[in-house]
Amino acid sequence: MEQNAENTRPNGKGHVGASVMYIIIVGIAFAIMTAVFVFFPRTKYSELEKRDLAEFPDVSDVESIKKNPAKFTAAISSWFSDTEPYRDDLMTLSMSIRGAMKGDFRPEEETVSFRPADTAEAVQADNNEKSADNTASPKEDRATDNPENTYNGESTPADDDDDDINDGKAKLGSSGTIIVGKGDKVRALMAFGGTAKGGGGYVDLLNTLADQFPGKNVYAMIAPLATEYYLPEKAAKASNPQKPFIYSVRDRLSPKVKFVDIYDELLQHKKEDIYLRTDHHWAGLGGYYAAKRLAETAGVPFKGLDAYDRHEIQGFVGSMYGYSKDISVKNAPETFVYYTPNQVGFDAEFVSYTLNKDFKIVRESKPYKSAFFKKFKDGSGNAYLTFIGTDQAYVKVKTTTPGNRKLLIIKDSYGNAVPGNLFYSFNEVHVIDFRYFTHNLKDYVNRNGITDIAVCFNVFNAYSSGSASKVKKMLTQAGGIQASPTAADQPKTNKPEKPQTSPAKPEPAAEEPAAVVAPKEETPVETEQPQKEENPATPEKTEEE
Amino acid sequence: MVFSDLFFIFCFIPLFGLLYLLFGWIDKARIRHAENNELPMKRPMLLRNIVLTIFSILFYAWGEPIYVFLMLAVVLVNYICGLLMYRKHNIFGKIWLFIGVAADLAALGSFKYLGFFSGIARSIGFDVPDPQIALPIGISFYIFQSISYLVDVYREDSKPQRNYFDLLLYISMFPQLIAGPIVRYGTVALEIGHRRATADDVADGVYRFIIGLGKKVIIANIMGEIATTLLGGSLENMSAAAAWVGIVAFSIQIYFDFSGYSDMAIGIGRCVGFHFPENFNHPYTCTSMTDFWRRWHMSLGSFFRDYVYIPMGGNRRHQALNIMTVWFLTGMWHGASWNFIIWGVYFGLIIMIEKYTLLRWKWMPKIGLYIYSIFLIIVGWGLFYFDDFGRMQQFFMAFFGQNEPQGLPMHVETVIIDNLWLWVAAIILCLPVRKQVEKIGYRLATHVPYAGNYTVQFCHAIVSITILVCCVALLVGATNNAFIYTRF
Repeated sequence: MEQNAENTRPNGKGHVGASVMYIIIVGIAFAIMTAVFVFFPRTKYSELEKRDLAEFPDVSDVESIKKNPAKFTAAISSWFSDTEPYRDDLMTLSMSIRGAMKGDFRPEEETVSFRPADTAEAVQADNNEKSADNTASPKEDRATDNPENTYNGESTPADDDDDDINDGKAKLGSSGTIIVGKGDKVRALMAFGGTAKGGGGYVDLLNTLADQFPGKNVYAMIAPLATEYYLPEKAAKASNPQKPFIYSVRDRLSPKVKFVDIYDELLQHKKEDIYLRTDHHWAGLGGYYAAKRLAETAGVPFKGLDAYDRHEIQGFVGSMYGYSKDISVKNAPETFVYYTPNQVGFDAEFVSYTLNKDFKIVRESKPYKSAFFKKFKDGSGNAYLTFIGTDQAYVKVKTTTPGNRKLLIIKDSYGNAVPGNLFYSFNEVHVIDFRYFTHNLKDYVNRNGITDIAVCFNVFNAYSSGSASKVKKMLTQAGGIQASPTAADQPKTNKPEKPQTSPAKPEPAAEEPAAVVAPKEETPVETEQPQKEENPATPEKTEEE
Repeated sequence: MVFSDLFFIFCFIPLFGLLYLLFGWIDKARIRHAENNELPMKRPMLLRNIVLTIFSILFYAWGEPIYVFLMLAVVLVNYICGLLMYRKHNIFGKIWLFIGVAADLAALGSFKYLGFFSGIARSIGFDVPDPQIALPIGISFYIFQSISYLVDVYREDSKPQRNYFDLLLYISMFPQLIAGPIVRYGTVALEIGHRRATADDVADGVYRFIIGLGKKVIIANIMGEIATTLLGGSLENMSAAAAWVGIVAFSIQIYFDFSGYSDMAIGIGRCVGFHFPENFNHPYTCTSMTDFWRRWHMSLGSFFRDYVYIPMGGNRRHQALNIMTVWFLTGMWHGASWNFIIWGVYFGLIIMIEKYTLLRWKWMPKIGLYIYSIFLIIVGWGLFYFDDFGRMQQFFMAFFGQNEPQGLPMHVETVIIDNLWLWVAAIILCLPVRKQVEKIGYRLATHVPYAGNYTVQFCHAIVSITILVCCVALLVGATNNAFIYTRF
């Protein structure tokens, strides 16, 4: 058509009629699309991206419109293209189109091979340069870290057996995700960009807790990402190993803090479904093994899975679909499995928080009884909310387990999957989210007679000093006592590098580890959901007893 | 506003189309009325032109609410100068031409280049502040159109426009306002007052628009993503594969981005009866750099040829100087940054060398010419892409294999495998395949009456709807969607 457009246009007999026909067909199609886009109700919330969509700019704010009219018109444009009707369906179509562009001639082999976690250092050693992909991490750190120093002599994995290491399929998805495997075995992983140097805030927090609560047990629990266990060799560069980080945290903890080696526990079970393939969380089973190691460390009883009922939610596709924007994730739904204890009584009391648009707490509810395990329908994308149902609440669970051991877990959303496995072990289990707690932690611990305190974070939040400092604030907030001098004097040596690539999502709090490019815990990704679908605050059919 | 924005497609276009049609009917009723009563019909397009002008101003103001006044002022200056200089074969004609062109260049200079020049001044020790002026979108295009108007009127190739609003329509017409093609005044002067859009025109125009949209949204946007992935991050120790794949992705992106825009502009123009000049002719099938520039952004090339190169003496007087001037200005036109100037001079030098070597060597095999050309073009885009010299150097180190060989890193493999069919389609579409397909349709339509034409148009309709649906889906959630050339 470029040049000579005139010459190539058909103009034999009937050309006018044919042109009119073209105009009518395309005109009708266009008119229908326009009608849908302009007159159909606009989408307000994207299930897929799990976020509220743009709102029409404020017309009444004449001052700011006058000041910056271009911003106003741009806001209208982006409102229009953000809130189109059937947004999620169109997004899915868009991902299918992108998926159709894929060309893969390599033979279908269904072995998702795993990279044994311990080869991580070997990879790192010959990997001193980092190419310019979107998961870049601070290079200098890699050069200076010597992971060997931090955890040599460590328990070696029981996994050296039959994994083929070198040949798993892998590719990079959007927002720092890595897609491995094929067909219904697809697994979406998050890249970790941190190094052994991070986590100073977490170490400081745990040491402070141990100082502030003498006579109580304080546990450090760091949950690795699935990436650590399932990243094929060829994608090794796409994510930094987490083991050096986790064990360097352990080595920096004061002797008063007990380190719960989740890393090692999960390594022994990595052939089982301990992680969700399509979600950024671990599976119920991963939480179970973490709880097991905690119980062992704490010296409390712990029951095998035969003391639990097994439940399944079919057709689960989790958050990684929206993050990776890769259709293959959607096409590989998995079964969400969770376990509920059947030989112990337990009674959960919730206090939940209402947040405003800026994720600030505006209201605290009265305590109310509600199910600890929520029930979700097959196909629900929010199945991970089975555990507790929300992050914006703190929960006190009284169990029929005798004794006076009372556990407090301070956690991020990974931690949600842990406490449900500890009802055989403790007389009370309290769960506090690190983002949402308005009381003085010290008062709370003393008032409730807590004997054991665990801080269970995934590696992102353990890495980020911001997450730890939120918890530290809880020690002093509402007129509580000051933080101990040790904590206050601690220089901030572990401040992570500035981000090299921006994460996909806008964050309410930007205190994440710099190099970490991945979906984050900070955003209350899931929290909005239950209110819409299945409100956890209203007691529903429960699984207890 | 950009063409590939859902708001433009589903709000602006339908509203404009409806009003344009409505006022078209009223215009026609006025014409009939005049004919029946044997009255003189002075301005048959009046209402349609008003609609087009208002929507053009709206289109521009949507993105540049303040700078729209700059455009109105530029048009006013040109309007006055045009009227004053016409048919003055004395010094005054020259003076008015000079004043008009100087005013245009002053506008361009102060809004586009002031920051650049002040930076140079600072770097050699003068204490001048950075003016911090944001570039008014499309200024390079409409200033050049203004200059072409003045020069054409001065040369008496065209008559001056006696109506300010008609001149405003020419400059501001939204299809070509912000990224060309650079339409010469003479090309559309008559069509402003009298034009027809037949069913063929509309069908061709719509089809052309949708093809352009597809080029932009399906190919250019995704290739842009790839280029950013590979070239946008740290370039330290990047592999040769990443450098090559990245810059080839950018080469594909910029071609489909810009030619897609031109297609959309030409298509909208056709729908309302304007015939804008073609801007591209399969540039990546060129056999020399000289040839490339006859196929790439043709309206800019011909502008410099007719308004700079030939007036300076063309090939009769100091040709080398003329060539270098043109290419310096071409580079400069693209942006107020040294890398664009280097990019322009790079082409100027190659073209000059070609004049004495390649263009005389008839024995060169065609395939060699293609490889030679495409290689130099790609290197050129490397100069074009990086406005930071440090990064440019790192890039070329990798590009020429100076870094450690690393095989095919995974992120490079990912962008290839994940978009394999897009790569294949894009590379094929750089060749004149579509032209060949259209030719078959043309033959069919000429030889098989009716059925041939209906088949061709039916196929067009299917292609159009498919592309439209794909584009709409891909535009949902698209974040970075601006056209590259609207920056210039």
